[in-house]
Amino acid sequence: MKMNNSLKLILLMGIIIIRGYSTPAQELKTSIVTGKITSIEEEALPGVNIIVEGTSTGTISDNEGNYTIEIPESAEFLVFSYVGYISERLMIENQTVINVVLLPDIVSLSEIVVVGYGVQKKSLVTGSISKISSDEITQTQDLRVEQALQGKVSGVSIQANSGQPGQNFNVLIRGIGSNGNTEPLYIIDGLKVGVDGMNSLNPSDIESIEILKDAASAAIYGTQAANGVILITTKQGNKREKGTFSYNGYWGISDAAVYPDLMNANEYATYMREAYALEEIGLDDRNMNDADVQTIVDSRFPYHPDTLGEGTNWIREVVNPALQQSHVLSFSSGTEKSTVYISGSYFEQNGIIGGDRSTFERYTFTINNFTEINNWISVKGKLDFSNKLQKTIPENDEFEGIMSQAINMDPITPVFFIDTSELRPVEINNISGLMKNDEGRYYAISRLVSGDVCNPFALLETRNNYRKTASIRGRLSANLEIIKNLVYTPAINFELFNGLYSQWRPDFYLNSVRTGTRSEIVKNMERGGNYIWEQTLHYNKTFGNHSIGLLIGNSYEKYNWYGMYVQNFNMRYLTDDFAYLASAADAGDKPADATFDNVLISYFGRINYNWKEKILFTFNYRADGSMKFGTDNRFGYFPSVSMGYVPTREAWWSVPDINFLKIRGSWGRNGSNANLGSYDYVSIIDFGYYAGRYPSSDDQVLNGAKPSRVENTRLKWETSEQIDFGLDLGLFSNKIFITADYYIKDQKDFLAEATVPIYVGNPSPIINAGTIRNSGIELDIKYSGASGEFKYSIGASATYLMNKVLEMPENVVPYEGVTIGSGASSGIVNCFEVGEPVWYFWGYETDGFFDDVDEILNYVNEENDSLLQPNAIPGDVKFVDRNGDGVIDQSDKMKLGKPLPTWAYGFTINLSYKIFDFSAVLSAVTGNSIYNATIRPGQGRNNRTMEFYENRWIPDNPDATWFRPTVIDDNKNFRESDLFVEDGSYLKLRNVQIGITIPSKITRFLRIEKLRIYVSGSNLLTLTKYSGGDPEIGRTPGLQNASGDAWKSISIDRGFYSTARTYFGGISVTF
Amino acid sequence: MVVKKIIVLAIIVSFFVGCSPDLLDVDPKNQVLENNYYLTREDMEAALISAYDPISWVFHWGASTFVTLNVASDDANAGGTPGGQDIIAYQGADKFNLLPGMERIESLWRKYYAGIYRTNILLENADPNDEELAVIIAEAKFLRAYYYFDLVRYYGDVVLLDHTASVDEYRLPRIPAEEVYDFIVNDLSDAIPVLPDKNQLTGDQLFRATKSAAQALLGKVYLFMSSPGNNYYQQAADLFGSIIQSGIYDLHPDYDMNFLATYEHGVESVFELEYTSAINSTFQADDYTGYSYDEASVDFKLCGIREWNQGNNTSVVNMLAGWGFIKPTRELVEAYIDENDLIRLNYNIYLGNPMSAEIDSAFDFYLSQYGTWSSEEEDSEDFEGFFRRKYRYDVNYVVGDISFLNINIIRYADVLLMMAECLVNGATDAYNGQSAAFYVNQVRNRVNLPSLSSVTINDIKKERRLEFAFEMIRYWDLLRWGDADGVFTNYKPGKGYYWDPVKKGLWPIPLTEINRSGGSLIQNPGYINE
Repeated sequence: MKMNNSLKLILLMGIIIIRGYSTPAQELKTSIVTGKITSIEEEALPGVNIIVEGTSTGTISDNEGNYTIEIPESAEFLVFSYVGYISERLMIENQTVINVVLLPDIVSLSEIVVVGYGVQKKSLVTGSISKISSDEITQTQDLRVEQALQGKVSGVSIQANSGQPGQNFNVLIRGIGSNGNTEPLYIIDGLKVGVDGMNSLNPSDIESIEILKDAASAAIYGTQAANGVILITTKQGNKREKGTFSYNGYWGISDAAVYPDLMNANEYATYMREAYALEEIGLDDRNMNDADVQTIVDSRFPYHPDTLGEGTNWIREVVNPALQQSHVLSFSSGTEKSTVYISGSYFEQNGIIGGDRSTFERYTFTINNFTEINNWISVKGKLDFSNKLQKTIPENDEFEGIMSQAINMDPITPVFFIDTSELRPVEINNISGLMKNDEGRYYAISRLVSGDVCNPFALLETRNNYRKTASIRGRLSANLEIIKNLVYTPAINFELFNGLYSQWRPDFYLNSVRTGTRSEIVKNMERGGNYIWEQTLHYNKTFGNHSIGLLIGNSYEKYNWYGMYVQNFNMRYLTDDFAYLASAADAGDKPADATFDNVLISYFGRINYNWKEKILFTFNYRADGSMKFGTDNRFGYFPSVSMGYVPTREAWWSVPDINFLKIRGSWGRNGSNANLGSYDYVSIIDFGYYAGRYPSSDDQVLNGAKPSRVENTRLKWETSEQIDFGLDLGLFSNKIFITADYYIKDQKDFLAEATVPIYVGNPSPIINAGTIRNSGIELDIKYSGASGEFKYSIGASATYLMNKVLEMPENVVPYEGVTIGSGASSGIVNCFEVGEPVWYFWGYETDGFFDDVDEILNYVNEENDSLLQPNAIPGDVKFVDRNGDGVIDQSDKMKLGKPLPTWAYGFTINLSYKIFDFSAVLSAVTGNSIYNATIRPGQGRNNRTMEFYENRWIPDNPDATWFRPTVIDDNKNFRESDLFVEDGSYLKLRNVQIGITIPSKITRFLRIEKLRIYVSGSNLLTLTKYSGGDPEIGRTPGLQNASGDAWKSISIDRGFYSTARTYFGGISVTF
Repeated sequence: MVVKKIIVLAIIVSFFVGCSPDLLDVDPKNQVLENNYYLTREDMEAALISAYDPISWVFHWGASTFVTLNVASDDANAGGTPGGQDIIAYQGADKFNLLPGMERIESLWRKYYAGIYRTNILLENADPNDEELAVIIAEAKFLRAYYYFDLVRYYGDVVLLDHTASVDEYRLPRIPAEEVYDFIVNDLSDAIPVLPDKNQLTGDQLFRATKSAAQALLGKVYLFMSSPGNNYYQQAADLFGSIIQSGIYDLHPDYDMNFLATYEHGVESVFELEYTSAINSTFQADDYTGYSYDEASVDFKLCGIREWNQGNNTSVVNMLAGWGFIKPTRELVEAYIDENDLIRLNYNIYLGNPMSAEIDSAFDFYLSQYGTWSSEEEDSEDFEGFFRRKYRYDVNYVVGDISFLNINIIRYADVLLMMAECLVNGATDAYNGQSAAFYVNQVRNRVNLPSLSSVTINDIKKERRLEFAFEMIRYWDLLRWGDADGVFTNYKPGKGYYWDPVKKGLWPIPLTEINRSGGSLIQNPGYINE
């Protein structure tokens, strides 16, 4: 049976301390109790913690599960506890032999939960904390930890930002509370890391993950905890463990899970010809001669559908099967005084789009060590190293995205030109800029679409980006028991990182307007580190029925970043081998570098109190000082309080089948300064490029200077204030365990880059931009048990989220929405407004289509008889003049949906029978919408999804559900309207795994302790009504926002890099 | 043991005490704070350069002054891909169907207010009594006037700021154009006595505003302020007369010298936008803000001929292929032919394909003899058979994708013709005692056109059109003369032009700005907020 190693360690440490100092103060009459502790499988359980209740007297069971304990006469109960098992509290009643069978505790009431700067018994926790154990993490084959949490915890939304290998995830704990950075705080073994730290972590090194959701649990982290905290504990070696090697490897192959269905060449030509005909006829539908119309159509679109067949399916062309593999080797061992855990891993994932231009590779190495130096000092050290190589292609971007090009490119154009006779004179003249494949075949240039839309393969050839990152993280800490029960823990944490970002492009001629004359190479380097010194003093003591725990601590954190940028032109050879600055002939922009620091100092404390484990109370307080604020506003103060009551511990409790009930409530305050740069509180002067330059008359460039942004000296902390009521309920001997929470979380004064009027004339200041409220209900149910050799565990979680903007400052609009597309039909599609969910979709209401000319002519402003839609022709969209003012303008736009789900559900199933095991993870969301912007407005002849074709309005099909074929969009059919806001609900089968553990009888001959072989699949099934492909739409990083991390682009699909469907086969071996 | 523990305890206490808030006092490295800036003359000089910068901004998307003003006039059509969707801020400017919510239409508005902010922060920080700063202050006032003058002509009533806006000023209303004009007059009047003459500047400083530039600009402002009941022709004439009398300026002997890099800041140049070859950069569109490198201009590429291909034939025409904007109109060509003004016709316009015997014979330059261009150009309804030659995408002035040829804002020819206009409107030439015809004939004679014995306002209007084609002058001239309704009503029927007299030729206030100002800005008449 697997043990929760680090927790065991902590227990052991506790016991060592108890042993060392529990010399009886006076002679008491004592007696001896002995016994044996076993599991239901009748295996001996070593290391079980046995304590005489109400005292510090205790022992642990030996290797055969036997124990002997000396107890005072007054003792009434013995408590047997062991990680992973339900604790037993047995009355002594003069027995001298007490044998105990411990039941496995799948829902782990007595489980130890990692909390900020310490651990706590789960049954005593008064906040809202979700825990995931290593078994649940390794159930799925995931590159990243975040992925492993999908569908497993209520209140936590984890969404792939895209299917591109190595991309970050959107992790939201209890909704969106800010428009900027909403990342939770990540702490690995006490060491704070950023998002990159998560990307560098090998999931199989993880022992457990705790998610601190409510303010009281997170409050000990003060300013960094407004968006919740994720605590990760990695594996440690076990004491007295003989050396154990294990290997876990898998291989997988991926393709796209879902992608949009597009018109083929025949359908496309039919559609376009119909569009030209309808536009030519216009309002004159009664007088046009068919033949004349066809002549005009022939001249505008000289391709006949019948001759074209299927044409090019660009999506199928750009999506390619991709391999991935992972290998993890780990070693753990322990002696009486020390333990060690070492692991190394290799992970490689290839992207399903972009071939070898979209890949991710990662090496990690970890060592965790624990040593007792003497009976009052122990030290713990950890070192993680990771090296990553990520190649990326642009995504979810209508201008640069490969997927967007594949969707919008016409299906008539082939992938390649047959030969150079198809080239136009100017193309021959620019032949060095034409892109070709390895075999020297030229990628075709469309004769039908132009502008931004081009051959996706040719565009790919101009994107040669990679990022190499190496990072080292370490923590060295010690425990010193100064006096009995008083432990001093100093710790040094550090993180060093080094990144190299390289991109080059050849000179290119993608079409007549997408050209670039000089090849270019750019290198960015960054390096930096984070250094944290922290120290805590813990004091824990039980006096009779009162247990008290005190913590005080402080920390000093210094972050430093340095970056450098160089650009050169005219590369000697256009290959990766020559993608170095020295091989480029001409200097580009002046090389530049920059640096900044960030310092945070903190003081914090906590009081835990419980009375007979029945009445529970915790108080936290933290003061943080950050240099990101002006001298007057540097410190923020973050208190919290939480309480719990466990009626099932009352003597009068007699409800059968309810064997555990805890009612808890908490209130607290957290802060955030993540959306603030180091010197945003002062006005910095920009020089040169950003401040403006002007040439002198002898061609020297003179550098200007101006403030980088409008100053705001009134900046203050972003605070999140949250109340939480919850209950934990164990039924039928804890076979069913239910956790439910209701919370209201107000993020006040969230920091945002204001949208000030343009006439202010300089980039906007950072402001405290209002309050966002997230409130919701979270429910987790776990049902587990066994019947003979059949073991089962079923988990379900449900999350209800209400998100809305409560207030905004009066004279500043914090945000404006996203503008989609180019051309006259482009418009703002979402909105951030008091009383509404963040970034709700905003657009025109439509009322079908104009069936005939009369309907257009009758759709008038009643006051002056002018046409409401003067540019409409039959088949065009009829927009509703909602406010009845006789013009259709933005005041007629309405709320059309919201990006965040109202409900999110997760299901996990684990079954095992003898050597077989099976697991499945499902997740689902409802109540959310997607803005489908995959088809770019204003691009005339670009291709469309089948929806446009199958449901199109034509005179023969007046009951259509989609508007007429459109090339020239005078009526602005493509403008933001309810036609493009789609239901984003989905159900995804995230993972299924089937494994076989080869019986040890067989493997023992090979000196193999355990051998398991498995197959699995991820994203096997997606059920959705969304027409644009994968409904799991992230956001576009950096879109139209200087802070680079805005949520405003959430759920807007501009040609998303689909998440992959992957089939795996794997093996895990323990020696 | 006890001793050790006491030592440890002492260390702990010292750590807790030692972690003091002073550790937060980390000064930014390599960063200058506003409080420590604007102290020296060098600081103010850099602030002034920053204030000059927006004057030459060009935009890949949206709103180059060069493109918008030329295509809005009857001298040029927008060009680009037909269908009204290719940089709609340009195609919309051509067809007068701009919408307030059009993509990136706000970049034009942004450019002027960026300039105004930068002059304001300079002026706020400059001690007006510091004699060392007097010229810098005067240049800043010239620039502020320049920005407001463009703004008021594009938009009519605008937000008027003579200081950097505070947090409490994000809901300001528009100020009537008359008050804005008064403000401009004040700034320029302050600047004129302080600014140096052009001949006092060394060669590297010629990009700066001079006394004559301020005088010419103020004279022009007066022309725009003049209406039948309320004229400033005499004030304007006095300013132009002073420039003429200074003797610093003259016409170039050849018309085309105004558009050659060799003669930048030549004798005819009163004020021009400075571009340079020194930025060794490729054109890079910032899709989201619309800015591009503006120390050299991408407008030339934007307005180059689409898929222009001359093969190896570079001896006569040496152009690069561009994106096809700004196409001359037939009306302009006919205006030259009517006047038999073949020098300026052939300098300004290439004949793309033969049109009619009369037009063919007027041209001595058929572009089709030297290269080919995109069939899209031919198909475009904006293509009327002609390409622009003035400010062409000339390989000699290109580095990367951007051109470094300066662009004229005020030429001496403009001063002469404006002087003539004042005189025919009743002003007297107090400085030089000449007639309107005297000045007009100087301009005509240079291009071998016969002298006129007397001139009417109509002669001057015609002369200005022929002289300043593609120099951003025509559209606003039509508006101030009150001729726009006449020219643009029923302009090019069937081609989708939507001239609406209610709009008075003004641009819409960008929808973005209306929304950002919380509705304190009211849209110009005739525009729907969509």
